[in-house]
Order: sequence, then C-alpha cells, then structure tokens
Amino acid sequence: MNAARHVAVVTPWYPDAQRPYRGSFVQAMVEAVAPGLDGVDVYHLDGWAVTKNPERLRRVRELQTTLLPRALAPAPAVAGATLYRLPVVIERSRDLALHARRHAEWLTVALGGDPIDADIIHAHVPMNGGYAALENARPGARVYMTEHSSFLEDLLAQPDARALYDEILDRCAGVFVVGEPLHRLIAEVFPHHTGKLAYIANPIDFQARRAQPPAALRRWLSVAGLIERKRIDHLLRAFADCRAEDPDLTLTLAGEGGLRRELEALSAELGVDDAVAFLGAVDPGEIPGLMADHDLLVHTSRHETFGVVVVEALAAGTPVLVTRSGGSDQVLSGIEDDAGQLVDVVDDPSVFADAYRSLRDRYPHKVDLDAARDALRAKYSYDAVGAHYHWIWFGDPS
Amino acid sequence: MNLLFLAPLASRKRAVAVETRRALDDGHTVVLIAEAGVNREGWDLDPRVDVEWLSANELNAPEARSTALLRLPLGLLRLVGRGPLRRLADKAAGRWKRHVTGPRDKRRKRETDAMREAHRLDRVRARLAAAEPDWLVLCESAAIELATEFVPDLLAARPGLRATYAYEPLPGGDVER
Repeated sequence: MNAARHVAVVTPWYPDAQRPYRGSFVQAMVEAVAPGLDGVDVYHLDGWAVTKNPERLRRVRELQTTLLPRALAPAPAVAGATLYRLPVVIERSRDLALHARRHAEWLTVALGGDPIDADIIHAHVPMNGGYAALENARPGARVYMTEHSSFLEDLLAQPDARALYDEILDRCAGVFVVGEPLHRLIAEVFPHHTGKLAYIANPIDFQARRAQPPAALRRWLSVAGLIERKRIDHLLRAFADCRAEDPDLTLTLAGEGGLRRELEALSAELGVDDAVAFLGAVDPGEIPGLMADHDLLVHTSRHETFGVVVVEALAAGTPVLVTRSGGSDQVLSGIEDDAGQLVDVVDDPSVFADAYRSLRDRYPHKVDLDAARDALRAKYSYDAVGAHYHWIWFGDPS
Repeated sequence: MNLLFLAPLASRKRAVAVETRRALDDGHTVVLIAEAGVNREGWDLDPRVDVEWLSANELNAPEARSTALLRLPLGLLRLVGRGPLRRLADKAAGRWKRHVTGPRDKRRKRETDAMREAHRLDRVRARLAAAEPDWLVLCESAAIELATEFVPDLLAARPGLRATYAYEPLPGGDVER
C-alpha cells in the first residue's frame, strides 16, 4: 500500500468479544479519523500471560512463532478499517519493560519480519503499543502515540521501564495525552521531551440528544466500573443522604467490577436498595440512550485521565455532578456552572450530597446545557477530533 | 468449516460464547472443549455448540495420611494461640507451615496439576481424532500452553489446518468491529 494517506494504528486495547468495552475510545478514534484517509489498519496487541517455567515457556514461544504469522488475518473493522488481532504471549512478570519488548517482538513475528505498511503510525499506550510500533515501523515512517494509562506512575517507578519510556519518547514524532494529570506527570519526569507533548481528545458522539432537558434532577446515573478508584461506596452514602429528603430519587449504576457484591450489600445496609439499580456492564452504544433516560450524571472517581462520561452526558444534554478527578475538571474548564457542578475529592460523602443540593437549587435557571454542549462539541466531536489528527499527521485538516 | 474451540481453563468465557455463536451463525460446525468452571451457567453458550466438558478441576491428587496428621499441630496452635500467646502461636504456625506442611502441599499441587494436564490432553486428543477439525481456535493462553503438546504434530500431519486465537470473520463475512 503506497497511498499517501494510509495510517496504521497499534494498540493494546481494542474492543473484542471478551471485553467489548475495553479501548472503545481507540475504536472511536479510528472511526473519527477514517474519513479522508485511503486506509486504516488496526493492530490490536492483546497481552496473554503464560507460564514462566523456562522449558514450558520455550515450547510456548516456539509454537507461537509458528502459529502467529499463520493466524494473522485481516478482519473488517469500523469505518472501513482493517483489523488485525494478535495475542502477545508474555511470561508472568511485573517487569513492564519486558511487557513492552514482548509486544514489539510478537508484532515482528506476526508480520513475518516485514515492517508495518504505513508512513504514519499512531500508537496507543507508548510503552506497549508505542514501542511495538517503533520497532516495526519502516524507515522514514513517523510514529505518534497517545498515552491513556492510569498505571503510568507505577510504570515509571521501575527503572528499566522508565529508561525504555524515555527512549520511546525520544524516538517518536509526538506524544499526546488526553488529560492534564498525564501531561503533568510526563512533563515532570521527562522535561526534555515536553516539546513533543500535547493534548488530544477522545472523540465523543454528539449525534444523539434528548428531546427535552431534565425537568428535575431525580434520576441519577453513574457510568463507572465498580472498583475502588471510582468510590461508588461514597456515591451510595451521598445518595442515601439525599434520598432521606426526597424519596423519589433513584440511582442507576452502569458498570461492573469486583466490588459489586460489597456495594449491593452496602445499598441494602443504607436502606436504598429499592432505589438503586445495578445494571452491570453496558454496551458503549447504549450509553447515549442511558444518559438521555436519566436526569443527572454523577461521578465520584478519585482520579481520571480523561472525563469521557462527562462529555458523553453533556453531549446527550444531561447535566453532571462530578468530582475534580483530574480529567473531569479539565473537560469542564470554563463551563463548570453551565454544565452542572464540580465537587472536591474529599472523604466526606456529605460534601457530595451538599453539592447535589446546591445544583438542584439552581437548576435549571442557572445552568446552560446548550452552551456547555456547544463548547464541548467544538473540541470532542468526531469531526473535530478527526480534523485534529489529520492536522497532526498531514499538517492540514481534511 | 469444522471448528474446534479449546478453552482448557475457561478464562475467556464471554469471548468463547460470543465467537462460537458467531461461527454457528456463519454456518460452521462447532465443537468446544472447555473446563466447566464453577458456574457452568455463566457460559451463556448457544445450545447448538457441541461441548466436551473437561471437568479437570474436579481432579485432585490424594493427600497422604501423614500430611493430614501433620496438620494437627496447626489446630492445636490455633486453640492455644489466644490472648497474649497469639503472636507466639502465629509465628510457630507459620514456621510449621513453611517447613513441614508447605512443601508437602506444593508437591501435592504439582501432582494435581500433572493429573489435570494429562486428563485434559487425553480428552483433547480423543476429541481431535473424532472431530477432525479443519479450524482450531486457541481461545486463551492456557490453550496455547496445552497446544504445545499436540499442535506441532497435528500441523505436521495436516499442514492445511487453520489455527487462530479467536473466531474472526473473514473480510466481508460479518459485521464490522
């Protein structure tokens, strides 16, 4: 393929049958950039942990070397892109530099030693996707990358991984982050690479929108995994506090996670189990509909690299009550009052409950959801994000 | 085509359920060899899938009578390890486990693993011979590990065998991802 506008995307995260939501932002990115390109090839490198027993590992690697080039077949992907999936077998290890090297190595094996057939490669997660892209790029190809990882701090605490990350940043054409926390971290650790560091947004669908704004903020919705970082226990306590004053309040929890049983027990203990619905994992395609069926998006996360759900809520015309988790405050910068309300990350659920009361009292007259939505659409719609990528890669929006 | 899905630890149940259904809908024949797991219903499998449940997890190497007897001091330490003696008893129990019962438990685990592996291989080989698949789907990392025992010979005997890690549609053959 020699087309001028042929782009390859290398990513460790992409939706698959096992985890249909993991990396849906990469799938969205592919959909956003595809218009105006001659072709997009997506390489999904999925890490599979295998034995570290040396003899057994040798045999696994031998077999994988035979199978992988045979198994690599193109499959149709979104927006006319082509998808190649390959499992990256990695011996069980916490050495993240080793993980990066295995990603690169198995992509080389899968490609039969040929380089990736594109002059522009955009990789997601520099350590895994990025290093694999650099090691398999053809001479002269430009490799860009986006960092999304919430585990970057842990990664940089490993000396080998940190050194490799430095090398990756040195070799790439540009590195992008989706939110301020990651920007600050990378700039602090690698000040010599700040010239290559910039922001890029995850694209959000602005097509669907509720017919009318919510009449009152009674039906709360959380779209978050049931994991510690999201602080759903905190949300349940704040919800119980508010519901004591207004029995019509309901809370829908969309998301799955290891804390589900514990949280179900907590909602019963708080006496709100009849008003709390645990939906489990929800297809990303159903999110806009869910947003439109609720009055308020609530988000209590301690830390986020980007506030995807915040943008999704406002795209659907739903106000938000969210913590200053890093990503969310950046997304809402300048439109906080129009969009809803931000809350400090503190350990007291009554602060979140008070913020709800404050928002409820000034809604709808002192919020401007249309203004918030327009401001976000200019930055995060598929058209806006697609044009931004094209500008990065080719110098002009197509 | 005649597909055989191999999921010896059933660590990607959802993918197997989705992909076997997809393959059936595309007109293929599907055999699945899998561990049942704790909750077989969690599979959500299409009833058209011909399943060979391995049930290898039900196999355990027997514990030697002497090992059972060697656990008695741990019970005794639990009884006496209350109040001010607790730390001392915990320390003694830890040492006992490390030096006496621990090595025996490790040995027993190795024996159990070997039994289960042999059981899986026997069942897979028998089913392979009966089903004669022309497409092998290694659904998880444990399938690759198990495959080292038979796939090299299988490929040598049948070079045309298709082997992949997932059932993905051929271009133009299914909905886009």
